[in-house]
Amino acid sequence: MEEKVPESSDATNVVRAEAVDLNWPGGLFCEPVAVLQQVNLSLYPGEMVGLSGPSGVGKSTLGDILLGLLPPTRGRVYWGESRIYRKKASRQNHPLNTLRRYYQKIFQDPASSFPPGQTTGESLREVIRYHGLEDSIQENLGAVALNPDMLKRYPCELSGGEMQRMALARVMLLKPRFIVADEPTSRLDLSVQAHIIRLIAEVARSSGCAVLLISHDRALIETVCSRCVNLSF
Amino acid sequence: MKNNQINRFHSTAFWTGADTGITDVDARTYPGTAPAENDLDQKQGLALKVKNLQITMDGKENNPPLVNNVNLNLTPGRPLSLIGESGCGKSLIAQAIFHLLPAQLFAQGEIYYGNKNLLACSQTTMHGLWGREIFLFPQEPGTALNPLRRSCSQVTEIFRWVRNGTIRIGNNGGSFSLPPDCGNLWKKYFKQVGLSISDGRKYPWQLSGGMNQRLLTVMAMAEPARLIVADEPTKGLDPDTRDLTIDLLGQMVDFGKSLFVITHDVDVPRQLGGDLAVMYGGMVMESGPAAHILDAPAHPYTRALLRALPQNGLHPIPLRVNGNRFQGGCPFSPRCAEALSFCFHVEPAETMVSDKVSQEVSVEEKNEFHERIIPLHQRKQFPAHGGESARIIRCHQCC
Repeated sequence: MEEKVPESSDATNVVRAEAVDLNWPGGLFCEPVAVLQQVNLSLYPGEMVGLSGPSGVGKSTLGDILLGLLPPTRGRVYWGESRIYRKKASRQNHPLNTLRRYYQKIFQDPASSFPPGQTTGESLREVIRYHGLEDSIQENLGAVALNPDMLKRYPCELSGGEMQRMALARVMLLKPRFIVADEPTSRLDLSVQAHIIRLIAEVARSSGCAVLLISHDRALIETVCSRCVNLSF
Repeated sequence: MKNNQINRFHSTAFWTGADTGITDVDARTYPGTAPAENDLDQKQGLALKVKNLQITMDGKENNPPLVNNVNLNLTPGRPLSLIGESGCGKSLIAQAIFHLLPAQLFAQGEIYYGNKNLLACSQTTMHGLWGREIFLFPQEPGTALNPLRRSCSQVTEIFRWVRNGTIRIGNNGGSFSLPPDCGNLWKKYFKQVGLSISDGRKYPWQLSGGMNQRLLTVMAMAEPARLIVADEPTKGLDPDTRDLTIDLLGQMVDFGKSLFVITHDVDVPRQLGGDLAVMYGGMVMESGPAAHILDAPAHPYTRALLRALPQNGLHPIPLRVNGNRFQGGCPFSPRCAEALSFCFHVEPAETMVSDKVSQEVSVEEKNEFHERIIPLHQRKQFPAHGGESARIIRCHQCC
């Protein structure tokens, strides 16, 4: 049975988490751990929200839950008005299938987010082929200030900053509504960090997609984000 | 009796070294080979001096050097930080110190550790120095740690290595026996970095990136090495853990160890103090006391780097135009908003010392500095290119 969206919530939000709990089960040497407890979070189109907190507090885990990659122990997560993680839902109309392409992630390590055996161009064209989209690679490369020659290179032939921009271009092909940027600049140096963050902010502003920026750097979040969410143990 | 031994072997008290019943046995097994706990802390550092270091591909002079005539000076009790962007050659210097350069790269010049030129040492000599004298704090904790061994076991392996087999790793269900001093040592160091004893039972893949980083810090602290080269020790850490790590590194310096830190993080040299060298394109652009350089950077690259900080407005440095290498002149000139014409033609001085620093150096050092720096009148032959804000490093004796 499909549950209705609560009337009090804003229907225009892109993603919404309500009273989300997540527990890691115990193991041989590990006791069960309550990672997230009663987390409520909503993101609206075009806004950039920062998510900070100490190591191991569950920042990336919350990002994965919002992206439909990890079911929470309790609580509800909505993409727009569609509730994901429903137990009883038809496979064909499940929001995790129909809306998946609009909810994307930029990974911490750009090197491991591309297949090493494919050129970057092949990786980008695969996305277009899979989703049946129009070829907008050139436009998106221009938006992230990359030369089209980069498409002929393998991931190992690009620098960290170039690869992270390529990852952003790949995400933009799908015209996303929500991006989780999981420490996108922690492995990049200062000058490249400024470029990447400004690019992500520009994408959020121009395309109207919501961005959840996960970072340890409070100064960075305060500089570019409109809101900041702090997780603590 | 046998059952009692087995139970004790698997008990937490034995595992954490609190079981005193077995310590006598271990003490007899390893008589007097382990140095006292305080010996580790009291070992003083030795100076590291890098002179005219040049690293080239295939050792051919035609190839542009990846590291070009780098000079660094590290004194015990005064940390040296090296900052710069990715690909400028920072980690290559660390690899050259440890003889860990990839096979196709060749290092020329001199790296003195005390009176010993490390570049002239044989591989066997270097194996004797690794861990016991010089310690490398690697960049990626995830790949540096063994995923199949518990974290505590990996720390004790360091003791085994530096103390010639003092620790015996057992093969009974992953347990191992520890002499009493070592058992207390690893527990002490774990507590210092905020790791619990139970974390010692976990494998590296069960720990977060920050916890793995702290595990490496434990290894660096537990080592009796006098020189510690830390390659990005604060990468990916949250602010609290980063501050803790920097404090621990500072404690090593207080103990008299020599500390050489390679980092992207400007907060590291700011908190550690000591000296700072700023590197770009394989060359040292500026060096001197960290506080002076960060407060009043003399070189345009240092200024641009500091402007890119979020708290300074997140102003990006213009991207590279033509790959990594440059053809003569200052390597930063193609991206520099303050570049003059001569910047594109004249290779910059070997080391540009901040204004305040140059006032503090001795007369001999000033003379040496004067010989290296390009005379001001030579610079005036070229018209200004980058606007009025261009700033020229002056020699205090003649300009």
